Amino acid sequence: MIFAEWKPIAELIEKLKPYKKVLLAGCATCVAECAAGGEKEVETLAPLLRMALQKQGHTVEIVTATLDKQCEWEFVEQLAEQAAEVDAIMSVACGIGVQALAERFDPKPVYPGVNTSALTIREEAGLWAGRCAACGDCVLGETFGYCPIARCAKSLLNGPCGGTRKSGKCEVNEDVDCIWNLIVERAYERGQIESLAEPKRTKNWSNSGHGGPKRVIREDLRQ
Amino acid sequence: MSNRAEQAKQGLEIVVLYCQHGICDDAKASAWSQDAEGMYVRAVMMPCSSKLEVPYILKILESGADAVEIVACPEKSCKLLTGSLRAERRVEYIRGLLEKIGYAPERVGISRKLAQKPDELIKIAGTRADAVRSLGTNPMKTGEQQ
Ligand code: SF4
Ligand code: SF4
Repeated sequence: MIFAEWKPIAELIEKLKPYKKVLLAGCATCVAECAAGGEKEVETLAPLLRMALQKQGHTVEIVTATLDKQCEWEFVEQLAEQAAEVDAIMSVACGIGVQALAERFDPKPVYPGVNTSALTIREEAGLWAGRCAACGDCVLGETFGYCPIARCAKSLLNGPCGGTRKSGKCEVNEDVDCIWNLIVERAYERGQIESLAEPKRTKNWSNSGHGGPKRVIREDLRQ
Repeated sequence: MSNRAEQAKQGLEIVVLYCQHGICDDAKASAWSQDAEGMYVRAVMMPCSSKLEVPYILKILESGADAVEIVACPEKSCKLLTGSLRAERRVEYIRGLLEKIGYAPERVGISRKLAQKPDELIKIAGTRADAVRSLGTNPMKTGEQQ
């Protein structure tokens, strides 16, 4: 899932305090899964913001709405009426949702309420961990299903770096597995350690953010 | 003068949310309120303290209550095993959020004990009231800035 976290509340207050009425908009998909921007989080953040604003002497009315998805136009349209009645919008969806609202409701000011920071899996209740960095040239087939881009602190394609702790943890963070240690262990288990001896092919980074703004066209799906 | 303003004058408004499993059967009531010394107590029975949701507590404070006390079962007698533990963690989380907006975390508390009778709930509410008395009334009630 796309992972996001609330921005510091002081930062949100600074953005909201000039307005009379604001819509706080959530998304019930990824950001709900990571407990940052679903309905529950919207209904948590809204009273907090109201209390903080009032405490600082600002009277801002905050109304709320949570869409099933903030990254699909059909759902975004559901906010049209509420958006027309407010002076600004704060979205706690990922950056995609924020931009969708900014585009649809231009020139209404739209602010992000969260920082979108990773593509994660929920390892267990209350614990999320990065799994993919959307690099555009997946190497999982050569790394035994472990992503060295998102999960190695140095994003090494040919690891380990030499700093792996005796515990098998990364030298950068003792709470995190050295992913190259896991890759090597799995290679041994499968009797394929020699496959790691060869340096990896040059990776094509142009299919990710390094290649400029992404734009994909599928003619068969176009109207 | 509004009811709220009158209450504020009379004393603190303490909301007590208590687990239905911790109260004796003949004292069970979904919601009740009572004036007590220096405070006005509003009590609401919950099916289990695990049902405690973060937005629910914040909305009670937003609506002007001076403090919220959750009365959950002791660890070993929780019917849902980890219900009261979860409630405790959520209370900690809420207290952290309150600190972030400059509100005293003492405005929310949790007691993990079996309060068999309403009198005991009032006593617990009194302890919470004592913890927040020096803070004064909730600024949301009076419209004050701090
Ligand atoms: S190699 Fe690239 S696409 Fe594959 S999981 Fe890692 S970051 Fe994602
Ligand atoms: S110890 Fe392992 S995970 Fe950490 S930087 Fe080195 S190779 Fe990467």
